[in-house]
Amino acid sequence: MKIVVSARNGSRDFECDPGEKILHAALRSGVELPYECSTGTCGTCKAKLVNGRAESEWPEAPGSRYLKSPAEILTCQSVARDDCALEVFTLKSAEPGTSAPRALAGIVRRYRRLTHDVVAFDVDLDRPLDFDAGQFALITVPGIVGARAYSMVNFDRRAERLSFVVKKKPGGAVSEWLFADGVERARVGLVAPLGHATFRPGVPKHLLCIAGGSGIAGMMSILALAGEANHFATWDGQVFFGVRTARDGFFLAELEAFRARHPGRLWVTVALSDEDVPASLSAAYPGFAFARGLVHAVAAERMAGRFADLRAYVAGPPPMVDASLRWLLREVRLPPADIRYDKFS
Amino acid sequence: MGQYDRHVFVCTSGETCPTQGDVEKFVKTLRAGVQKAAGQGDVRVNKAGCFSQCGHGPMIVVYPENVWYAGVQQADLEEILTSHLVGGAPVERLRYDPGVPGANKIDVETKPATPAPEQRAPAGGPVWTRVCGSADVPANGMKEFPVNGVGVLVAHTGEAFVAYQAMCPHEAVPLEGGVHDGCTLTCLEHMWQFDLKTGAPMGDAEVGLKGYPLKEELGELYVQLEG
Repeated sequence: MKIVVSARNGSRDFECDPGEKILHAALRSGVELPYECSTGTCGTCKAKLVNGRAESEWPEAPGSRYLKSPAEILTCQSVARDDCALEVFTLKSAEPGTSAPRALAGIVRRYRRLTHDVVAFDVDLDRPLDFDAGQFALITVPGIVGARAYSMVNFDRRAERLSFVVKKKPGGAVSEWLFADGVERARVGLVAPLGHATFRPGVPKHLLCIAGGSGIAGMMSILALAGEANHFATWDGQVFFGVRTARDGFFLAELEAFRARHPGRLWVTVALSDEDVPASLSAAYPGFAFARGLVHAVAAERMAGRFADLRAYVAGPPPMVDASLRWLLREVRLPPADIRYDKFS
Repeated sequence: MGQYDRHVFVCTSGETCPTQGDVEKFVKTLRAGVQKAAGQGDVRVNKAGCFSQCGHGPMIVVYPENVWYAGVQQADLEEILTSHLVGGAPVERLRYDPGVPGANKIDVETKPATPAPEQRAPAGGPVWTRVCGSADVPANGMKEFPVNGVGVLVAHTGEAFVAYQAMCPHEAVPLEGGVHDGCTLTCLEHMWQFDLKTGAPMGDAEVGLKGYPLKEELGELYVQLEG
């Protein structure tokens, strides 16, 4: 089916396969329809259907609350039933060098538990994939309709393997599946790479990473690339990682390995929101700073007076991300272009 | 025959281009870039008036190719410079193609809110409706109030009160949940930004905010819903 999209700055068209989400078809064809979460929550991908037939596969998606008329659709949840004409605000151009997302598949390997409610696993891909540090993939698992978005933890060019970390979400079908037995060696479907919260080498800024829980995933990818690209030879990195209690912490050894490679340049602070920092934890990681508090508040306190030349990355649950954005906009006064964020909702 | 190899026009005085990007800086960037590439062609960069395509800005037109660029961002200038002005290959992804020759203005709200504290309502003139007490709006904050069934956002800039539509024009999200720093109002949903004093769109924002005339009298705030 042919989809024509018009915006105030021009129009584009692309082919959409039966059953394919309109957003995925557009991005795959190099047409940058607006999107953010791509999982039906944020409403960014709203478009107006002016001709043709398109149907949402998830009409009760939370992002539907942003739709103002029956003619409006979420392109990330909708499939075309006919040739369609759509209207959106603006068609942006893809950042040069980004890979268009595509559908692919892979096998789950190296599945392991990191904490009582966090698992990590790799997906060995059928075909290699290029992606940017900080991007995510939509994952579909056998027998469950609908996809969940998970950020890549690793960074590789022509990656043959994607690494993920998932925090258990009670009631979440995909999450429940990932915490049941038989995940190892299961075949999963992916649409990747997606997301704009990316880091590219050459950004002339200090890096500020604020992560809550599994929001640390994309930061690991960014730190891997930044380290490899020698970013920390010139610029500092400040990582703030928030979890509830000491037993919720993970990736600490990996973060310590990053830190140890860039002493005096890369700093890691772990914030515990629900308990005082046990002496055993701070003793185990003498190179880290620890604090009790909400991660955005800890970051605000420790970053005071160091606001120049910052690029901020924020990922985690919505309240934590919003609180961080407020601080970055109001106090740090960063322009939106220097605030890259990922809200898990 | 023209006087220059390439002649670049940047709209700096139309109704919307200057509100959609820092077009004065665009001119500076382009001129500096052209100068740096001196010897690779004689390129002239001029500020221009309105091209009658309001709403598609910031716009840049390049002759002799007669290439029109729309929605140009600061980050695009380097590519325009290297690829087109120096290299001769227009940047296809930025090309403007409205499909209709001639004027293509879009109706964009650009009129600033004009707080009118001294204005008196003449008989039969504009109607002032009470919104709230001045103390109900947090200092340097903002809050939404219903006024005759209309949601009105009242913000305190640190110096004065301003009143706007309550919802972000982008996604119909309450602006009250956003932040402002006295100059810029940001909607947290997708980071659209507006000039707090005029409601004009900034950065990624496509349209501005509808403003309401506001006055303060004896510790009470009043707005004119319709002028």
